[in-house]
Amino acid sequence: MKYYLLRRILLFIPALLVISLLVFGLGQIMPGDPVERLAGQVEDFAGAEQYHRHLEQYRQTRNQMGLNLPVFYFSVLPAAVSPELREIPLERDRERLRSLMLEIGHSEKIIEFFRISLEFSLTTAKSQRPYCPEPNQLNVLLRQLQNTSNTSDLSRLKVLLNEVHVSKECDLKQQFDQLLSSVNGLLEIEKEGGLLRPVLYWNGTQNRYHRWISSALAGDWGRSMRDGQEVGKKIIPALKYTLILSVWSILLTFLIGIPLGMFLAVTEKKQLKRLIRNLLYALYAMPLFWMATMAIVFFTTNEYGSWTNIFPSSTQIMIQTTTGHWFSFGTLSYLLLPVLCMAFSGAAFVARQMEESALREKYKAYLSMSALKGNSNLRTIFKHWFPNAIFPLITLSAAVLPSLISGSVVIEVIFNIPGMGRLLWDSIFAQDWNTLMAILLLGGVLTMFGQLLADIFYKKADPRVKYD
Amino acid sequence: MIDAIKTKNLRKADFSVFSPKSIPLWIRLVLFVWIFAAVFADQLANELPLSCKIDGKRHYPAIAESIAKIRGDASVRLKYRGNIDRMESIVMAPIPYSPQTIDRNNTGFVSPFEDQHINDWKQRHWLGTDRLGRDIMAGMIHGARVAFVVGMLAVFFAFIIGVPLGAAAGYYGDRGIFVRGLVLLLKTLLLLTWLYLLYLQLMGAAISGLLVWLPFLLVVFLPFLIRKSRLSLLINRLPGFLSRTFSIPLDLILLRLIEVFRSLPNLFILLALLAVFGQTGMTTIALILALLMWPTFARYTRAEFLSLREKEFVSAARLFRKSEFRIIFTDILPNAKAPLIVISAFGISAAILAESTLSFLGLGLGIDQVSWGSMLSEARRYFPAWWMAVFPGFAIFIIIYALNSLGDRLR
Repeated sequence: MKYYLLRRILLFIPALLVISLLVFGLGQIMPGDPVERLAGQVEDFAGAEQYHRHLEQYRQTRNQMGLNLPVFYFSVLPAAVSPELREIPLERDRERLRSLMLEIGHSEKIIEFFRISLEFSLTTAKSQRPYCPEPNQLNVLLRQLQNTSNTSDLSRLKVLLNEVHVSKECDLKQQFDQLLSSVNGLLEIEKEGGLLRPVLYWNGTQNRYHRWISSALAGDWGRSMRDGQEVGKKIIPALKYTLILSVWSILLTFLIGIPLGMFLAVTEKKQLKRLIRNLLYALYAMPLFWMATMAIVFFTTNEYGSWTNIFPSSTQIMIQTTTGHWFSFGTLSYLLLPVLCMAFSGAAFVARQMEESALREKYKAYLSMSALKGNSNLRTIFKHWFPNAIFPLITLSAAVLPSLISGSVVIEVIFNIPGMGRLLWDSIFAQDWNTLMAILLLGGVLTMFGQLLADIFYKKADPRVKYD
Repeated sequence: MIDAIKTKNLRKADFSVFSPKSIPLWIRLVLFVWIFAAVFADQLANELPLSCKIDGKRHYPAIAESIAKIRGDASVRLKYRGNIDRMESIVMAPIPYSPQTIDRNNTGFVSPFEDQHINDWKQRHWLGTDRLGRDIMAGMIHGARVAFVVGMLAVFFAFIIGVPLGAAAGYYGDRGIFVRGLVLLLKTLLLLTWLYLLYLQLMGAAISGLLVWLPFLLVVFLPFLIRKSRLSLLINRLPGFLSRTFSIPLDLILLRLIEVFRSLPNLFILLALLAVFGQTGMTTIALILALLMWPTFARYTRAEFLSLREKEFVSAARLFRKSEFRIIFTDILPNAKAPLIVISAFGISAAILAESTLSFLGLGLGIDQVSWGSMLSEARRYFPAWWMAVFPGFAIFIIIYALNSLGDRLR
């Protein structure tokens, strides 16, 4: 047993790694630009000076978020593409430079060209004197500069640069010459060979995954992208509501389900058995969100006569749960309807499982033996039958722990309960990936933990189970 | 004698278990109505007439629309709607509304029982309307189609992923496939090359699609090439690791993979994937659901193959030099179909439940797709409209009930 436990816990670590990689990977491919949220969009059509101010702000925010770091401990890039490309803030700039690099190679020259072109557009913008070239001409030039992504764009740029007439007195002369020579250099340079050859870079611990996972393990989940609040501070109160909701509903689920299942296995009344069984089956097929919607439509309003208005409405639940003491009886009474919905839907499942496993034991010899010994029916049932029958249900408890966390997204959304499920739902719609990743990681860890616990309980409950 | 060994007889015997007569009438009825509504949704509920005359020529707009939908052409509706006042001798569909049709006279949640602003009993909204004045009955019928397509596709995809994997793992076990060191090395390198080329293509490098897939094709055909060119004789002479034979622990790999998938928080992954993809079409949803469902199919197939591979008819088929591919797919698989049919029934119901839950949460299909789940979510906005809560929910419920009962009965 000890050996088994040790092995399971050792297996836990790679599984955790897989989960964290998966969650992190999902976080990386989520749509939307997180920097843009905080720093604002860098727009092309704004004035050049403003553009640069925005760009600088964007770059700073991006570096603060660590997005200029490589994604993982190592990276594989084609030889043409330089890893320095990561430092360039805007996605569209990175993309066009990358395609230029893939075309001709010489990444350091291309980055130099990008630097010169940025400087060029900045100095032309800052220049207080009337523009030396015509503003229209300059605008066309700048636009072309921002859209250069292959060699034909470069030659077009060259043509434009040659067309512009810059007099000797103009203080921008130097910039123009520099840009022209850079463009010419790129156009004349010979294409490098072996551009697509893969190169492996080792990034050390200075990478995004390492940053994310180490700060997450230290308890810092980052800040919510929606309201800038710390993710941990959002999760803990949400956890509280989910916990109270789940604990009660799970308790109720087993309290209804197990006796009912056992009763079905024991009783000999065919009619009653059939009725209950069909009812349970129907309940099991009933989608939870339908049950909850029907409950909220029919039982929380006066629309269908005041006598059906039994339960508090969902807005009241929201107010009560956020203001009232979270474990008080008052809060509990407000949560009655959601708890009942969850419990009914779970109880049907538990009862079916219980009945099935009890029926499997029904005709075993040890039960006849117990009856033959003269034990009373009740004693046979509770002392011998039930403990053996309950045993397969332990695996069910594995599902309990993660559900504690996810609560029921559906229930929390329908009844406006500010729990984890609701938080998950909200953060998906708000594209709040930091919160989402934290919830996902938590959910994954708890799922695995639940399975581990179930295996251990299984072993405890039945000494026959051997793990080698 | 050969005929007696062939599995044909067994196959026949297998089907008798699933004869329609053993299924209760109500299940057959529910499934029939559902599938009928799904297939003929465009003819049952459509604002375009089933048949009409334009300039003396007979047209069948509702049928033409169905055919155009399959071809991915959306212009038919617009074309006929432009001609609506020139139509003569019109035969309307039983429900003269499409799910998107807005009846301006009956907006703002009209109950099925109250007086509706209609000219003719044929135009009645039998199940009421929603806030915008869309017919609930039409939505129900077209929602049947969404449920049907998503359920079937999800199980289909899960089947394609899970069954071959489970079959291979169960049939070959841990010591069934042997590979020479050289081949293993080559295959690994080729696969890595393939992945790298895909990555390059994603980056925007100019490589032809054929070149990208070449390493993959090579991996598939490598054993064949080696056998044909008698390279194996050469491989035998290679030193050390290259000529050694390795067995691939297929079964172990699959079991570990299933374990990983089992330990994932399914609902979370589902929601996260949908957050990545945004509101999508039915195929994407089905694919995502299949991604979560395939381990079940793989597990059951593996268990069946594990026991069936020891049976006499398999040894007999081997005796007759049938190829392993044919043994797996024409001998063992037909005998393993009983549990697969059962989990397919449960799988369809699970997929429908998942899809409707997601649509209910506003994360599933796009806004233009009417789903039972999305109709139900409207009911939360306006409590007096009980018909919006009752009917779509009941449809989901009865289909899931029927499919679960069917699965249970077949078990």
